[in-house]
Amino acid sequence: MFIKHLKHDLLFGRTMFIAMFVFIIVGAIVGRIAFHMAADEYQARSVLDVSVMGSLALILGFLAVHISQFVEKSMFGDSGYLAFTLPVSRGRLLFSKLLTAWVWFDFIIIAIFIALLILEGTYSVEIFREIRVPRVSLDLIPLYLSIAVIFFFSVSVTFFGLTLHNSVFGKWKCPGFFTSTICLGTIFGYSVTAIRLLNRSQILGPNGGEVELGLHVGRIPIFGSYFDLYIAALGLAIGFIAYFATWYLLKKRVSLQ
Amino acid sequence: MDNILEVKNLVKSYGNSVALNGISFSIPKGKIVGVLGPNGSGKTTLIKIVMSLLSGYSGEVLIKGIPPGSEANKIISYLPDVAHLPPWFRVNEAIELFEDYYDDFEKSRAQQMLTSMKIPFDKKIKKLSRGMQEKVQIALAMSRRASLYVLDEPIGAVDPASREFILDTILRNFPEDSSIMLSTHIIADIEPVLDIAIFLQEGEIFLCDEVDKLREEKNTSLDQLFREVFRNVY
Repeated sequence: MFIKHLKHDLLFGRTMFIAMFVFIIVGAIVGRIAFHMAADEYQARSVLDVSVMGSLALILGFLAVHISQFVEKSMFGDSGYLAFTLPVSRGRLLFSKLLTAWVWFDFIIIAIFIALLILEGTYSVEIFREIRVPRVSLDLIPLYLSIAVIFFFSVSVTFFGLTLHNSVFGKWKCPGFFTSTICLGTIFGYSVTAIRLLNRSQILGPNGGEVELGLHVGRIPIFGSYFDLYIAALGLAIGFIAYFATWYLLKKRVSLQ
Repeated sequence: MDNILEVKNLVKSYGNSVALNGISFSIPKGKIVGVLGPNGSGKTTLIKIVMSLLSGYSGEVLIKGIPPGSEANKIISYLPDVAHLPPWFRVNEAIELFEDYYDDFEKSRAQQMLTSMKIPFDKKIKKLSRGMQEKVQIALAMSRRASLYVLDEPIGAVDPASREFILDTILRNFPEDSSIMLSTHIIADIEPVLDIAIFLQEGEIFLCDEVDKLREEKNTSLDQLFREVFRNVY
């Protein structure tokens, strides 16, 4: 039953994700062509830096919005009359949504990985050697893990906000605007603290500080910054708290109007 | 156990407003029960509690001895008063969805019903008219061999000709040992099919008895009785 439920969840919005996959690959190909056509070194570095970071933020932001819409449309509103009356426990409903979001996340990460492979061909050009775009190597594993922690945190907090708004506490104590603002603010604050991309951007600011990993395994560059294990642990802890709080609300406090 | 549904001292409030005020009743096997009342009387609140769509209530609700939840949903077929099928689904995908989730769903029966309703299988739900969406939902709900059918305003959103068709569909596809609980405020069309009537007024049960008995005692039709009882509400 759970597998069947997961199947239906994965099919939701499949067109959108295939389109995103194609968009990322095409964008990387266009980017590689554009860099070779750049007039000078500074222009090329500027375009690459802003494009890659901006595109990554855009893609992940779009992913977050789409997942929020997926949960809102498939679990609440009129569709909630179907979702909550299925012979599927609330825990499995929620876990299926999280698993689906994770599968989509990995699907997009694979697209980004392929895009980096395409862009890496630009490293053969002299002027691109100082660029902070990571090379395709095992160094990307910590990057993946760091983004995965942010993703889990963001998804859990979003699930919690949406469920709170549709619970017995929702209509008169936690209006949608309030919960949306708190959730988005929490996600943004955590993301900026964890990655500190803004500090590392050559266009947007000077070089920021570097934090050595607590395990003393050496410095692993992630876009020129470092992911603090303590921030990761905090993100995971808050993510799990939000997830189980959501499960409790779904099980005991749902109020579908 | 002869009662499919048992409700005891059910109380539900929304803030300071009491939606259900300690109601108690039971639905025996093989009966069609109408929950009748004006808008705001508590009909939909009652149904949502049975379907575990609302929490924060006191009292007891048991469906064949099982409290509302995912286990009870296996034996209840529900038709809400909203368009609850995913609008991006096609009709045949909705049939597959029901087949995946419900062991008691009869796919061939659903296909037969939808064919007789002249509903195209490859059309998206959102492209169908409201009346056709309602018919799709009815066909899917009545294609299950459930113990209890909970129908919330099944004829509220459709034209008079369609109402007759829907009622006929419900009666022809309703297993003899199952029960139906349906809510409505359109009494005249429903009256001929009801076995038991529950009149809800401001969250309390005003009347609860067999329809034939009520007609004999009050010497009037159920529709006329409804109009008399709730005249002051309007």
